[in-house]
Amino acid sequence: MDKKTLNQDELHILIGFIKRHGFTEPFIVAEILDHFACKVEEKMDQHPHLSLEAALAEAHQDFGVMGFRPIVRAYEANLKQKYRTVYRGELKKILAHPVYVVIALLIAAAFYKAWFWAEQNSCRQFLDINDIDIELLFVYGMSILFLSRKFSSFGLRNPVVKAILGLDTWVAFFIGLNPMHHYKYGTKVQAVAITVNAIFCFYLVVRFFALYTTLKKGYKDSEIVQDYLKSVDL
Amino acid sequence: MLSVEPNPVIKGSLTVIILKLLEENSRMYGYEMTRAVRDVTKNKMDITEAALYPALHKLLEEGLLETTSEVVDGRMRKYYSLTKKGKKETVSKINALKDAIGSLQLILNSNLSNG
Repeated sequence: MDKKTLNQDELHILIGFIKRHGFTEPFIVAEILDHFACKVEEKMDQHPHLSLEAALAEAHQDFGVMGFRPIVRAYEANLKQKYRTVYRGELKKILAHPVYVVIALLIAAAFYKAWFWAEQNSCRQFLDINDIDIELLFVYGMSILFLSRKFSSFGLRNPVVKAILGLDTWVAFFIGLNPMHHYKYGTKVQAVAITVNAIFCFYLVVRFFALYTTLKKGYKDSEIVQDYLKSVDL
Repeated sequence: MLSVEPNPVIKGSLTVIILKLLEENSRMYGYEMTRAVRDVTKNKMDITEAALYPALHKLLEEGLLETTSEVVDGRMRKYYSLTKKGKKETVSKINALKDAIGSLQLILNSNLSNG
């Protein structure tokens, strides 16, 4: 007797089952579907008179109390680890390039000098550290928004996007908790603080380019999954 | 049937079981691995998904496995295969497990009473 192979309609019933159990993101559904379908086919091979619904229920029971969660957790953990490695590689590539080191030093020198000039010309409010932190948060937020729009076909809940954008959440945290703006410093210290913030802003730009390159790679790596999802209309 | 998940001895050997399976087959998918273990042990041992996928993730993280995806029978199938590093380490890990099992058997088969 031929082994049972689920057809497209039956696969859609399985997809509906997976979604009803809380896993709706298309990449995650695609990840679970094959293993689940194999189990259902096995059940129907062992008991030819078993209905699809009964085979679904039995196959899902075989996954245990954790259900599909182990598959999803392992998948998300793999993505995070894979793209963390790619991201670090991209960041190293950029930071190790002598041009960026020179640019960073020039920015540092410019801001340091600018502070003293601003002091002498009574326009230090344009370099006020409180405002710069707010500007940094704004720039960071807009850059993340740009990335999410650029790869909008993924969606923010996509596990590849979550794995990559999650890399930078500590940066936003640091910006928000930056203690420098809570104190009034002397002129030289303020100048150094502004310089450090300016270098940090430049570093954020570098991180943005590393994130962008990593997301592009993630997008390319998952082309086969995207093509598959279009074909099954998941 | 012995389920891999609750048995700590077998659970600790799961990564070696996976490496051994992939050493003998150029590539396998998750369900195929669970079925292979059941078939070889004549249904005495069953690898649960809760045990299998974390073990596969660990091996991927260590760089011993790599994955490729293909559309098969209308669904995305992820195949696992050994990397170069994985092929080297499989031999040493299997030998280490065989040694450990040999030592255990010596202990279990001998008379350990005092006096």
